[in-house]
Amino acid sequence: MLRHKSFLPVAILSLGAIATASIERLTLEQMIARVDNAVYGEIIGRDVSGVVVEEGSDELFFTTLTIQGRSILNGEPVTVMVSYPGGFVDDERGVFNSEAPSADDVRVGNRVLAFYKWSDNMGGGFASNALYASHGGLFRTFTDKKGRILVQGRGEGYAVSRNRSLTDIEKDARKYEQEQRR
Amino acid sequence: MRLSPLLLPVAASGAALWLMLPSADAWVETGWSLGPEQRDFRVYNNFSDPIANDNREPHTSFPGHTGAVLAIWKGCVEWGSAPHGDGEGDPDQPGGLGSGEANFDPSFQGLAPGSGDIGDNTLSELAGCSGGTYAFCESFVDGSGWRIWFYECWLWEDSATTDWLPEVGKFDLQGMAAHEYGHALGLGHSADPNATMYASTSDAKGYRTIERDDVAGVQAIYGTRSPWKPRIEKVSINATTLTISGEFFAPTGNEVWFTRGSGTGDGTPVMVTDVPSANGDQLIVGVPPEAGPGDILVRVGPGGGERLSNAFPFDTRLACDPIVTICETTPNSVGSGAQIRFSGSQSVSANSATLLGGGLPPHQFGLFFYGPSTTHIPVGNGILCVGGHLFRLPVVQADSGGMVGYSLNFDSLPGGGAIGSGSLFYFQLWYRDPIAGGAQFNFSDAIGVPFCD
Repeated sequence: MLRHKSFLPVAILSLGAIATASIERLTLEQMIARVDNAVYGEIIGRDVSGVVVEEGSDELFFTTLTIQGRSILNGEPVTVMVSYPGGFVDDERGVFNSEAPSADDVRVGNRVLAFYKWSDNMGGGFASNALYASHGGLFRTFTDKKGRILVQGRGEGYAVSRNRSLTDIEKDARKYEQEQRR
Repeated sequence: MRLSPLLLPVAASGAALWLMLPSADAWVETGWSLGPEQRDFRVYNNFSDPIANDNREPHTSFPGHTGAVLAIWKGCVEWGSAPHGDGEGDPDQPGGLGSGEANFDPSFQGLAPGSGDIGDNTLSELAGCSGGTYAFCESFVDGSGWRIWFYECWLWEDSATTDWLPEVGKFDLQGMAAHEYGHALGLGHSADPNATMYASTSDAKGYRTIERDDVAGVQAIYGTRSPWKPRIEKVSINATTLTISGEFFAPTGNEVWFTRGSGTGDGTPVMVTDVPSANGDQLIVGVPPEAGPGDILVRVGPGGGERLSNAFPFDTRLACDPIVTICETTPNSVGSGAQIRFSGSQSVSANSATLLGGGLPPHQFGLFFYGPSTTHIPVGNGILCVGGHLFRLPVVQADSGGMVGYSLNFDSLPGGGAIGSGSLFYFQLWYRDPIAGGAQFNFSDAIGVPFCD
């Protein structure tokens, strides 16, 4: 029942809104079968847009990350924009999305592994490379004392369930992709 | 179990933080709760795939709706404080729908005319696809409302059962509704893979039944169900008067919430206010004309969810004006005369009405007939009381006790004699009575029967 309609911008400004979701349960092999590509690289940009689904109703918001790096499937350099539902255009317009990666995960300058697939319509006609399974498609990376790049796992049901070296993931990903091509 | 706090995005103002709080269990709070004024939910039934709306089997605990609406309704009431009605409706948990045992109960408010805004508390389909994301819930972090979307690119199965064969991209709508509604009420994703609030799923079947971890979560947010929380245990209808039986109703000032029938409201229930109770265990109210089939709840005064009862199903279509007896019967060979009575439901959609006759000569033939008006004309040994265009029903024969009965089937009435919601017809019984002499036939008294949905 409504509701603070006339106070909507204020509510968003001061309190924010949040979106939560359910995502696909995936192994790395299944993830590789579903996506167009997977990139390991640095987040060099972040942008948020709002689109109208129903005339006169609240917008849907999407965050788009620009990631520069290389494909883990073929090693080629990639600069790609990937999107997920949620985010803030400015202080007054936007929606949080807990299914999205956390704010810490998507800071410009972070190095990440991201899986994506093109979508002609992610809602409201918004077309982009969808970050596959929202937060389930983006993994933070870090470098250990020995200089190895490790990908941070997210637990059961995620394509990277536990911490693994990027080298191992790349190896498996290429193997799965070649098998699936046959 | 998540052992370290997860700091989630900072509000655009830079001031509001959203924390996913760790707990001793695996459930996670989002940081808000819904006030009693935000317990409503509505469905905009724009689900495009036929399998989302091919369950045409109604259920008495979920009156008036089938298909996607029925599945979503079931999914949401699983979070209720007590069994929804008799708790039936999900073969996976016989008698178990309504498992939250917290001071929280959702209020089904029927159909929505569109997806609406965040804060309109609607569930609907969203055209498009976002990779492996199935559905999501947008919410204000002050608990002032939410909006849930199901991506159109997946197959949403509305089946009452979960025995359908797995298929890539096919998901249980009831289960997914239960998961998303868990977000709406203030839960994040649990780390317990068995929980309804676990983030990832293959088919959402397992989401239907909330688990111990989910119960712990909703109880942490809203409190364990108060021992004095009002509770509806039974509802009964007599004409348009509804009797609600239960416990812990207030002596005065109770609010009875009904599901709105029109499908055009904003989610606010139809309310009857200032209702007194007898001994705290019974409320008697008239059924408002704007109410539709759905749930009723009782709020006993200001406060939180401990002051709002469980949701109990109620079919407003059973609320018809009373049947009236018109005209008099006349003596026959066995006594003071035959009488006609009505048994069953006046609801056309329920289609469970029976005409009864008594006081006839044993084993004699007769027939029920009906028409749109009344008259009073001596005919044969009795009085014809029904006027206008008359419609005759098939011949019946009295038993040895002089009783007859005929089950009305609203789908196969005589040509031109269709009975619809809102109509009023008069019924009478004609019967043979050769022993009485004279015209050797007679009539019963007559009744006027109003019909409703």
